[in-house]
Amino acid sequence: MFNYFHKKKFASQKGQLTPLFILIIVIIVIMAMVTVNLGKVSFIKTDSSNAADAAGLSTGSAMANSFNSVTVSSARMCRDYWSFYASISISFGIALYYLISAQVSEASAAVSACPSPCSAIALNAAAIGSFGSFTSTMIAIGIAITAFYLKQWFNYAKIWDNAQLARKRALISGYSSAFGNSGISSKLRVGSPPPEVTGTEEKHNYRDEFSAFIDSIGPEDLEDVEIPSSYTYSWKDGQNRLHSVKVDMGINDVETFKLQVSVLPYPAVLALLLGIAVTSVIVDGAMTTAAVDLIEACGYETTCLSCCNYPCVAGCWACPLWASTCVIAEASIGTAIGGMVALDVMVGALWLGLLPGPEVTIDDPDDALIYIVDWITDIDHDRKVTVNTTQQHQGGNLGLWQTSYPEISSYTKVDFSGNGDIGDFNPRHDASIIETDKL
Amino acid sequence: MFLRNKVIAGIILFLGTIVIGLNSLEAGWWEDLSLPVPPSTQEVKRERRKMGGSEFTFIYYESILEANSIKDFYRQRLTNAGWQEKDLLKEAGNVPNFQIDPNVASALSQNLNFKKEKEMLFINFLPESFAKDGKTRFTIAKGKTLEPELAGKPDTNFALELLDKPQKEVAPVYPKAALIDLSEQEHSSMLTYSTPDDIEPVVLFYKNNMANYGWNLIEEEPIKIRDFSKDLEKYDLAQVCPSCAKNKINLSKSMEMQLAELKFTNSRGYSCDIAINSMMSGEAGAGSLRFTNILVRYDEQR
Repeated sequence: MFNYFHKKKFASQKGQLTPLFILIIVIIVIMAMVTVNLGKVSFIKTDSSNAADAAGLSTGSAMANSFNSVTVSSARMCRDYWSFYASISISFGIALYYLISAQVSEASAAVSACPSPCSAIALNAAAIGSFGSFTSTMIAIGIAITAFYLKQWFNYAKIWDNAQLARKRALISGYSSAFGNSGISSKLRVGSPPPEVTGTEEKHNYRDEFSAFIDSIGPEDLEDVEIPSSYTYSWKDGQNRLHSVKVDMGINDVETFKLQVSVLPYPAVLALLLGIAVTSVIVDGAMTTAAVDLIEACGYETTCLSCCNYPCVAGCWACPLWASTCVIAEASIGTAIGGMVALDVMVGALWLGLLPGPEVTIDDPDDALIYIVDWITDIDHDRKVTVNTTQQHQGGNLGLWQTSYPEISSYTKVDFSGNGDIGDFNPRHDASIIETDKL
Repeated sequence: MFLRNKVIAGIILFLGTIVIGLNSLEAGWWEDLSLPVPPSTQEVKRERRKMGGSEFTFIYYESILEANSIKDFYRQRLTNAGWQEKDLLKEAGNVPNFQIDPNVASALSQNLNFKKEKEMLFINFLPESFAKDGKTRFTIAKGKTLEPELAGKPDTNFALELLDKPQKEVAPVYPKAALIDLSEQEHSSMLTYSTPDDIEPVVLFYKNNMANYGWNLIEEEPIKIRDFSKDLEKYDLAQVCPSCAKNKINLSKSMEMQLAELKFTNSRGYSCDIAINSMMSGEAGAGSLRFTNILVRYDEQR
């Protein structure tokens, strides 16, 4: 049988399979080597994707927590605002109660001053009493408004500060997750570099150095630290091959807040408070002057018996002293009433001016010092986090074969809007991946 | 016989004591319950405040009833209880040659005022347009009329002083400062005080005395002056207060605010921030606006 084929084989030149077999084997070996390489590339891609996803979710969750915290704080500011407005409205009610009582008494004093200054004394005195209570109440209102203004501004400034810190912490958390899930640790040597290892990248080939690098991303005092938008960890392995993992993080800043503020800006509130204080002094002075003049005129009424039929009913105009003093008293009462009308206007403007007014957009808390901040309605932010991870690994010289690996990148985009809404006080911000690159 | 009389007298005395005791107890209850509450209405918060020597109790309610139903309820019940309604709008209408400002008329229409002897009762309704949940929110304040003789006394603290005290004393209180606002959570609190003193001694007090409560000063924003006159120039006051312009009221544009901040921390890593502000104006008659507010913000979050 064998001989038959042997003979047949040499009898014909057809079917020279040996070179073909050799070629096939070489191709299979090359393919196997390529396959091994692709496997490694695939591992790197998986690590890179995991890192990007982990970083995106970790950062997104931290940002969602921060936005939820702003929402809860804003809801508290809103509750405080309405509590303030309710109590200040009662105070305004009390103030107007006294102001209108003073106006009624003083108007009656004006009507009766010249016909009968003696009877106007009591009315003017009643007006002075009511007006004093009005003044006290307005001072209390002034204190309450300025205290509330300070509290709300300080609250907002703290919330703003915390939002900046939370963004930095979210970035740090993202970087830690990215580097921690990049598979770096498994490629490094255990422990710290020995003293003879001096180069930075050579030192980075040890896990303790990697841990120190991750710690260095998040220093304890974050207030004055700017967290960069990119970090790279590179190291040289024992065969002097260079490796690097780069992480780029993108979160828009959280500096621009939208605020619900009161109708009147704070300086206008102060101008009205000052106007009320100054006018109150004028009114008080006028009523005190009127009191003195009324008493004097009343005195003349009893001494001017010769020029009027005492007790005077329609005035004692024939008596020059009575007439002049009475007219002066009447003028003072007129000044007081005029001042009270102005006060009425200013108190009304102040009261309604504390109601919620426009929404303003502010970048810096100091710029909000001119407003009475009622609550926070929004943060100007797209609620997105983007993460890019890039790994580079230098190949090795295998003698006949020089391995090389391509640069591997992964990308993740996270949205942390969830169902949260700062303006509606709904603290349900939540992170989810909305976009990744294809494997 | 003599003993029986003694026993009877003892019983009468005992019963009398109980009756008197119950009577005073009921008076206390009555005092507390003298404010009727409409149906479907819940008390949200209650606080006691003092203003210019008079004490007021503020009770905050929310209700599913409409404001007009609540007004009718109180008009009927309080009138029956001897309270007399004081219609300020009507009274103002009786003043000769005087027309009440539309702003005031609009704001006063949200109020009910009652008087009984030396007691006052105010009911204020928050504007309905701002209630997102459709509930009616109103506040009742009851207290004695103010003492007019206190007005104008320079040393009097006219702040609307809160008589409820904080549960936790986290920082020293500036002498004679009145507590005017308080919000306490489990691990944080915010307190606002007011004093007629200038800002400088207040800042010095906190710098010197916080150490007694275990606080270390870590950051200080010294007193800085914010001049509002430039801000005021941006605003057309005729727009801000149209009635002011109509009544030829010129509002001053000279106003400054002093602001200082102190940040403290303790050995546990807790924080206590203190913000202090005060107003300044060169205008004559602005003396009543010279007061300093102190905000204490305590936080156990590290």
